[in-house]
Amino acid sequence: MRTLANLRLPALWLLVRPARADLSSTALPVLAFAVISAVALSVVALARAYWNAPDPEGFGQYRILAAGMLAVLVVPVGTLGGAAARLSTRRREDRLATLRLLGASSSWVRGVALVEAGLVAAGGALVGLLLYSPLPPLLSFVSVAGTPLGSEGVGLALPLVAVLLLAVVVVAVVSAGASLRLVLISPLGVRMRQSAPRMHWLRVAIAGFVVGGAVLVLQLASVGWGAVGVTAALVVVLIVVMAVLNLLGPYLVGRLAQRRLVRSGDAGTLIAMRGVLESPQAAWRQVSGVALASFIAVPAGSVLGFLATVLRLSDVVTPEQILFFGDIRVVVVVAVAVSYLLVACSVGVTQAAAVMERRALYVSLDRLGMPFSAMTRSRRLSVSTPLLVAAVVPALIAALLVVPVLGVSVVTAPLFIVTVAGCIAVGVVLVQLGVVGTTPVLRRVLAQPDRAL
Amino acid sequence: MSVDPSSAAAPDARQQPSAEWEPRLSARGVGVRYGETVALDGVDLVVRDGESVAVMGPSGSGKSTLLHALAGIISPDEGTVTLRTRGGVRELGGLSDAARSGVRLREYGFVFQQGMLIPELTAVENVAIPLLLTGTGKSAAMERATLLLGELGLAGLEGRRIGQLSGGQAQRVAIARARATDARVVFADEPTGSLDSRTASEVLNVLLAETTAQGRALVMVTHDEAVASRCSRIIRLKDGRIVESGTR
Repeated sequence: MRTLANLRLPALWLLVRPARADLSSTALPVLAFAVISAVALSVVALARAYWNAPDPEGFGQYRILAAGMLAVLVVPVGTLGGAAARLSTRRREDRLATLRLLGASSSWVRGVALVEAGLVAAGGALVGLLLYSPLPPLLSFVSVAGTPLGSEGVGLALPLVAVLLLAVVVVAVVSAGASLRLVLISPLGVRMRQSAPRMHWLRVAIAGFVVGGAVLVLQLASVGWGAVGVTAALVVVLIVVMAVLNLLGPYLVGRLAQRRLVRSGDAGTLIAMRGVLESPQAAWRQVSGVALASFIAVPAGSVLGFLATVLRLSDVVTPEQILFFGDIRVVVVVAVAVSYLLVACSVGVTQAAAVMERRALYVSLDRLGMPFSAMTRSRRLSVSTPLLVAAVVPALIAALLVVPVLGVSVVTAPLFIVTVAGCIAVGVVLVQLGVVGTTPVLRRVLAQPDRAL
Repeated sequence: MSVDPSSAAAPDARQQPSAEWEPRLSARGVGVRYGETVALDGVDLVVRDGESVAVMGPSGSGKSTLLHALAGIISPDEGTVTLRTRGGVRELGGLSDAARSGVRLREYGFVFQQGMLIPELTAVENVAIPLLLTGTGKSAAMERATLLLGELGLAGLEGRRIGQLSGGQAQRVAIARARATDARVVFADEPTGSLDSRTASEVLNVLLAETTAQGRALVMVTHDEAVASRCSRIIRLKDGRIVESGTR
């Protein structure tokens, strides 16, 4: 059996090099990884500055902020990496299937796909480095504890830059590996494994248990835990709850789609809801970026509202605390900006991947005479159903986590709640734009003269 | 070499259509190019109601491209494809993409390999889809789809997904779907290609019974001489041209 180890490099390059015909679909994941890399470098530069900020009281509050900033990066980078890797596989499926037909083993072909995902991510990481290069002078104006960071404060040593870019590639390859487990590469083509989705109500029970635990942890967290304890609690809560969203989301999406299917009276809704029910997980993945943004927007907005209220009480706040609250505001703005940047990137990639994955369906519908506009409407419906869940449920869970702060904000600074709603609306619009923006991909799929009858 | 249109339009020997039998579908001088490659070159073909035309030829001879052009999936670079629709005679090349979609929906039926059914949908939903697309209410569409499936021997299997049906059953679903909108022309591409000989024969019987026997035209691409011999006319393509056309 052939393995990657004994594969000659020139042959490997022939298999994974970008073809001129699919440069446009290569550009999407490369761009996504470029943005991920630039964002990761910027956030790590800021987090490092916060980590090294002076800590006269020994509480380590700036280290907590730094850890929170980094935690926000982890899940979206993994999700986007997986989406980009899946797109990479689907657009080259003919080539991968041909390799299988020629006798290459499934694991060998997966290896080729992983190498390609790694190369695409590496290319994106290098472009990301270029995007990042003008940013340090801008970041140097950011103040921490009242002192501008300066060029030394935001500079990243070359080895650290190399490690971070390598980490982006590793995340891409790992995500690709996880995504490829769901794809069957046979000599006759590439398709998603058709295992019946198991959407057990236990998901809701587990999610309820985890969210309840997270609320409890955040309520119990106190200065007595020490800086490390509070940091660890915050990071764990953020990551675990974001992971739970990915467990709960598909279940709720499936339930909502089932309801809409029963009530549907037109072909577009019927096809869209059946498609969602076919794989609620895939439907959820398309909008998981919005779930993240929605999850972050609520505590972010609440914290900003809370801080505005506290700062108005200037007689009970020390100058140091005012500076610290200002720094928290920077972190919150960075977190929201990062999540939306990643949403914008993931929308294009996931929508393009969705068109590729359902290519056979769209070609069938085109043959049947379904108007292009009706197909686009059906695509929008298949996204708006999970989108509703992604926009509302994480916001509700986040509200539970920050009930006390949210309560103060609602009473004293209701404008921030409007801002939160606005943030979520922006995410929803971004996804809908992603559907419209990938219309050319669908047109290209339908226009391919060699599509099978 | 190109075949004289009058010869290509020769009536079915068995059915002996009358002289005033109007063509349902006409191709005149149809040419299609993909870059430097000539896929079809000056093809003339006339198909009348109740006729079954088998399209044969080696791989790359232009069979699928001819079906694409006749079905309005692509616009030919040269020549015309004319269809007598319920609303009058229409030249497909002059229609917008949306209008050609409308023609496919209302005038054509398609029986391709299993993949062209929609796997996410149940059998009854697959049959109902064209009706829903034409604006028929859901309950009426489902009712008619159930009736059609029953007529084709699939009663009780309405709720099954395509993957849960045998190859022959799936092709019957496709035939029922083609009947749903009372399509006047049915295109079939290797409809029995993936079936065993007994099932293939059964499916072919059903296909002919549901098309030509009811006055519909059938255009079928096949590599199988035995299948082609069941059609009233066979045309053979080579290098994008009709090199042989004859009635049975």
